[in-house]
Amino acid sequence: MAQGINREFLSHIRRSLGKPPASEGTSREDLLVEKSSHRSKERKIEEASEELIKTFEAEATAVGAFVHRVDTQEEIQTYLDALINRCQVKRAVRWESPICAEFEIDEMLGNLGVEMSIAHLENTITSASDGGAEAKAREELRRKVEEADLGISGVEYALAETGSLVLMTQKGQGRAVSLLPPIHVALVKAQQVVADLDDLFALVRDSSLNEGASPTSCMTFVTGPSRTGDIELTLTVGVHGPKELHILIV
Amino acid sequence: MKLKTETFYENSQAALKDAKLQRAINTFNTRFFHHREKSIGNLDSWDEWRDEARKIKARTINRLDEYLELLVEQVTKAGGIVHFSKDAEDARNYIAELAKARGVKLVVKGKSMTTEEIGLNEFLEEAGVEAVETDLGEYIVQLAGETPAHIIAPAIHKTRQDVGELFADKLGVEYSEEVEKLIKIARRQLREKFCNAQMGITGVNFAVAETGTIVIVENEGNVRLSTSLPPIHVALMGIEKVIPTMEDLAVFLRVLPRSASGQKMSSYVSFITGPRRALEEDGPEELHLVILDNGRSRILQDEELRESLYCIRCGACLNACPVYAKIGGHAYGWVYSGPIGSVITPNFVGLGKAKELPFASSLCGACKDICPVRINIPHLLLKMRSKVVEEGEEGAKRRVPWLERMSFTLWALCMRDRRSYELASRLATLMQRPFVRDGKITSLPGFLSRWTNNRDLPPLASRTFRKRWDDYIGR
Repeated sequence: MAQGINREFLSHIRRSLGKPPASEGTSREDLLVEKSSHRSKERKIEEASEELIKTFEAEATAVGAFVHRVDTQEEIQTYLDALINRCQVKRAVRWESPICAEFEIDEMLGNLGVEMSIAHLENTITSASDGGAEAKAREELRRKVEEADLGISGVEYALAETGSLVLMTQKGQGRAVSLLPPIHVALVKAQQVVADLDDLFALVRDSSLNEGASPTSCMTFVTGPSRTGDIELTLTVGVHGPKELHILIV
Repeated sequence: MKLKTETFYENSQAALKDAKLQRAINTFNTRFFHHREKSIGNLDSWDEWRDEARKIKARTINRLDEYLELLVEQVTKAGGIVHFSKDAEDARNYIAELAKARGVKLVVKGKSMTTEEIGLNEFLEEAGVEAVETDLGEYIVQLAGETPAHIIAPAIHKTRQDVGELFADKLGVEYSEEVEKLIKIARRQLREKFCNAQMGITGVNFAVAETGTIVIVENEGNVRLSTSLPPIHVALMGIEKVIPTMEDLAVFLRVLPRSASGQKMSSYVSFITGPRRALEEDGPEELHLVILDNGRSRILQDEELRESLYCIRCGACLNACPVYAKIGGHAYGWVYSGPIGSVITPNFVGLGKAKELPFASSLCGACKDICPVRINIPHLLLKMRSKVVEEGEEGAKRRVPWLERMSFTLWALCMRDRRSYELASRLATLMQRPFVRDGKITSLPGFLSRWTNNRDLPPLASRTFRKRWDDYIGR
């Protein structure tokens, strides 16, 4: 972007505010310090207690998600079995995520007769410099996710205040898995539950500072299934996003 | 959007006669307040949150250039492309030229009042680009060739039968008036568009300066789809949308969903920082953030009117306003309706073109009570009224009509001292006699009829209170 345009635009705003032109190297320190320092540093993050998990459950259920506590592999299997039968799930896609491996999701769904795919771009494709192959692979992947009846993901956090799931995009954990298929199953570890937005943003800040990484290209809060009230204010579920959201807390 | 602000009075009269519209607004309001009560109810912190939200907005607006500068740096660092547009024309051109350069033929759009403000859809259509609204309410309204009737519920004025007929007519599907079926139809139709579009265009609810993050709030999932599937994402924001940090964002995420639709949290919130990273499976290859002025900097110049830029576009003031409740959104004639619309529209489209809007209020203050950012809308309406009167159509100093001058001179004479006042009120008691019918004044002549067109006035008492008091204490 031509720097000249930016400068003029910003100067115009500054003049509109009745301020003198900005001098070179004006300190930015006090732009962000107010209030935020109280919150991010030395904040005691509330632990994922039984009570907090119950709050999460209540809030998520209130917005139309199906929440289930599971302790064993068998329980997960039973739950998914019922879901797959009820909704006639034939194809599923999932994130490339440690929690899926931990609970042997592939095997489980395979046993239940579901065609399971991992929604990721093969390493061979992305590392190759063939743009055509990459484009083709991406299209293939998109089609697979589109045609899936069920999408399985993990989460980064589960927000008790509002019953929201916090998903962060990264390689192997794309956006479409929790969005295109009509059913979304989210696997949540109990210790991923956080109390409120303030704790959450403090954690997000800490992790991005620690890893020195840039923020994720897309963080998404998922609170219940997709819904609308646009026709006669009649609340209907499953407009463009998933119609059903299942949250399994292990 | 075609400007119809100059016929505001006529628009309102038509709306008052529209029984269907009246019913629709009524239903919406009832449900809205019911949900709002449930989500706010006995919350101790509600007012605290509002105070904090206002403080953050005030701080940000007062240093807007600095926060915008930081935002631009951060968005650019994350791989996004920022373009500043001083006006609607520039923004339209940028987006249309980008579409042309990338061979874009189909655009999917998330709901954005700002894109309506700049008249983007029509411009793209002229440039041979199909722009499909994907928010269900907007989709319906677009199919019908109309404009949104409400900031939050665009198709609030349509019954399910209306929608059923519309779909049958325009989409060639079987008629149905079952809401579930209609939703399914829309989902199918739009899913195809999402998957084939080359560009997604959305608005922005908040832009976090510190991290360069664009935040968009929704319930349907159409924004997530528009910002994840097409290879290009264009986000359009007014300059006032920037807020300092993610921590500041927290309070806005608490007040916005409750104020807009009575929810604790909307179904989906997307926090977008730059386009997709190199190895990610989906997400746009390019992210363009268009930052729009289009008259906002002019509003900034007025220290009092600056407050109107705190608005987070929740639509709550529309729902609270007794005037809006009777005339609906279309009557206001432009994109921004209701109380806040009455303040900002004249500033955007010109005082002369929208001079009736700030007067369409009884100053009841319901908007001020409900505003999550505590904007003092009645105060701003008064400010706008004096602007309209003083600056007039050509912006020149208004020449006060002789009748007005005479009326105020007479008034001053009467109020000057007790004797004049008493004489005047006795005269008035006499002069009113021909107009009193059945103990009421139902119509007055000339310009005074404005006070009696829609109400009856009680007559002045023949014996004033002062006289009764004097008699009572035996003076």
